[in-house]
Amino acid sequence: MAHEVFSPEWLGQWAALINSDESLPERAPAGVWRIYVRAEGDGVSPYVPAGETMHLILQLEDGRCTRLERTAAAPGPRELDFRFSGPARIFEEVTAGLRDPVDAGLTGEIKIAGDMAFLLRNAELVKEIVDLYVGRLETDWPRGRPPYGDGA
Amino acid sequence: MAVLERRHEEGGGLNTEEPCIPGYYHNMHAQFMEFLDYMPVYKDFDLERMGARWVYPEAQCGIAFADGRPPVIIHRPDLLDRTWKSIARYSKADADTFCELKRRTMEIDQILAAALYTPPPPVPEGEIANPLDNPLIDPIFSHIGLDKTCVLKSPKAIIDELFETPELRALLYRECVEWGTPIDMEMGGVAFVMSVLWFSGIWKLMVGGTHTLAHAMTQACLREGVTFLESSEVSEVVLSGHRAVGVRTADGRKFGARHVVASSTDIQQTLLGMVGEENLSELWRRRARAFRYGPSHVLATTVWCLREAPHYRSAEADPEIDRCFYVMVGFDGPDDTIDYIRAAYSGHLPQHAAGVWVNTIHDPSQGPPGMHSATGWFFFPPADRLSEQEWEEVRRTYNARFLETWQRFAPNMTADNVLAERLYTPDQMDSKNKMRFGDFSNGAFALDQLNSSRPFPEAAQYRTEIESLYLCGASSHPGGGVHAGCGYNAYKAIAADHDLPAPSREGRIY
Repeated sequence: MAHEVFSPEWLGQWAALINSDESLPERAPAGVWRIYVRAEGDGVSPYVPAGETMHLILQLEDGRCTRLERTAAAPGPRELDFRFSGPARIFEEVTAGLRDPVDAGLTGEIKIAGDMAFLLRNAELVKEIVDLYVGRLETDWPRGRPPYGDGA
Repeated sequence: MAVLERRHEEGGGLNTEEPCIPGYYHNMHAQFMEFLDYMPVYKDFDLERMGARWVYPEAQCGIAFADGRPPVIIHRPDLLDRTWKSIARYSKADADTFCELKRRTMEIDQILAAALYTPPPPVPEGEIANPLDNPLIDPIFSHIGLDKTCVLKSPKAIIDELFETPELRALLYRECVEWGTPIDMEMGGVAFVMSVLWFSGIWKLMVGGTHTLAHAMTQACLREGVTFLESSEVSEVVLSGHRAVGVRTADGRKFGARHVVASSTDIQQTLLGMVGEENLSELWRRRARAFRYGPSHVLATTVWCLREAPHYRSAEADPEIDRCFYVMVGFDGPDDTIDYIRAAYSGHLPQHAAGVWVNTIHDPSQGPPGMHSATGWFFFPPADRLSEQEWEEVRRTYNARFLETWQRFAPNMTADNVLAERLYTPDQMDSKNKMRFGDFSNGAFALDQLNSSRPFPEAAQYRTEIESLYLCGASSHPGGGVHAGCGYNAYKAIAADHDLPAPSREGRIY
């Protein structure tokens, strides 16, 4: 069943998809890894109003997703291992499969902070986790689907 | 798909010849293959199945001294302990600093490679490209542990700030320039990371000469159905309205192009020569005319057929210098290196010093049994700084003067040890390979001609204002060198415009 993008139900379905991959714990790095996504309302995205910010936390524990939720505020720097930040439109285009997340990182449309060497070692895994929601997650776009063109 | 090649064979600067005596092979231009682990074409087209083979010398680059001081040698990244030991003969602090920077740089080498194999960020119309806007600067400098203020500095200033050993500075100055970065270029921090920290020690040698890499690429193209037409100099891009629909060769043949024309010649040849100024807008005409060549990437290749490989005075302290892949000869310290570089950049012939190598030590197939093929590079002024007669005089006399220097550093480099020698100068590189003025990057490395501004901002995405005409040569980002990055990035633009599949990314992030 399709859920609205970034809604609690949509996030829950994504977490379930991650945890349904039985090979992930074997390939994922051991320990707890906290990833923070900061999507800024850019005046184009109909899901994150201009001037507002969507905060999203993904926590992986030995390759299992133990937390995936939106939060009211950004976590403190000591509470996260990686931060991905950028305009909401870009994250939505990645979700819709219109933009390669790695390209978005390389061209600076999504800014990345964290241990880059670790990220590189696990680049395939990161891509796989993103591909899970791009390729298999049923997403509802009630306020329009990217690309948005010049206006939302 | 068809490739029209001006010369009688493909490969450009990847050419191995027997310029002095048959059986003694010399790479007349490209020599050190630092991108084999990164260049997508190598793995995607399985070039090793097409005959490409390489060896990876342990001692990679070093500096020898005429007074027998210990050499400084940088080894492969997997042999950092040896690099540490070599530098620590002079300074343990420098050894610690260099090895830690190198180790951390190699941890993120894929990100550095991504900077080469990704089109530069486009600059919005009316804005100026800001080199500090590069999104990779923060993660790179944070990870390596370099102070971010280094981004603004010249490589020389960074080297001077980081290292106290004159002998190490002398080596790193030259290495920086050898691998593409002008030593005095302000805002040279990223280039320092690339040329000094990343490229140092990752050089491979193509077995049989670099020519074999060009051959493997050609074989792979043939396998994929590409047609090659050698001795076919393109003189004109044929237009229909404002769209490229084919090319015409100097001998009058015409070839139609249903989809695209991609030019690997330099930007002035492509736009001012083949397209024609009359078909360009005022802005593009002005931009193309203003594009500059040299002086930073202008080389002369010196070739030697030897009975014995050089045996350096500095080998008493560390015999590895005799087997080192690349050896600086003729420099007593950092001032010599700097004077040398600045002389060449300012249009003068520098002192008689060089970076040299003996490929037969690592690949005996490049010379007759027991004999040696030595080659080296001088940094020289661009071809137009000297007259034809002056270049002829340089070819006639310069090697002999260099041999006098070489013998001071390696006493067995006597005239008796030399069977033959030859000097291949920038004017010849221009006429033979169309490296303009001898500039192997076909365009100066300067802040206004790099990344999002290479060759100029409006053309930096590999597209031109002529519909269906693309740029895939060294005038585009990331410039000259055997990385195949210009073509890879150009393909990304072509694929996006023509609904073709994006390149495979198996095993890499770019």
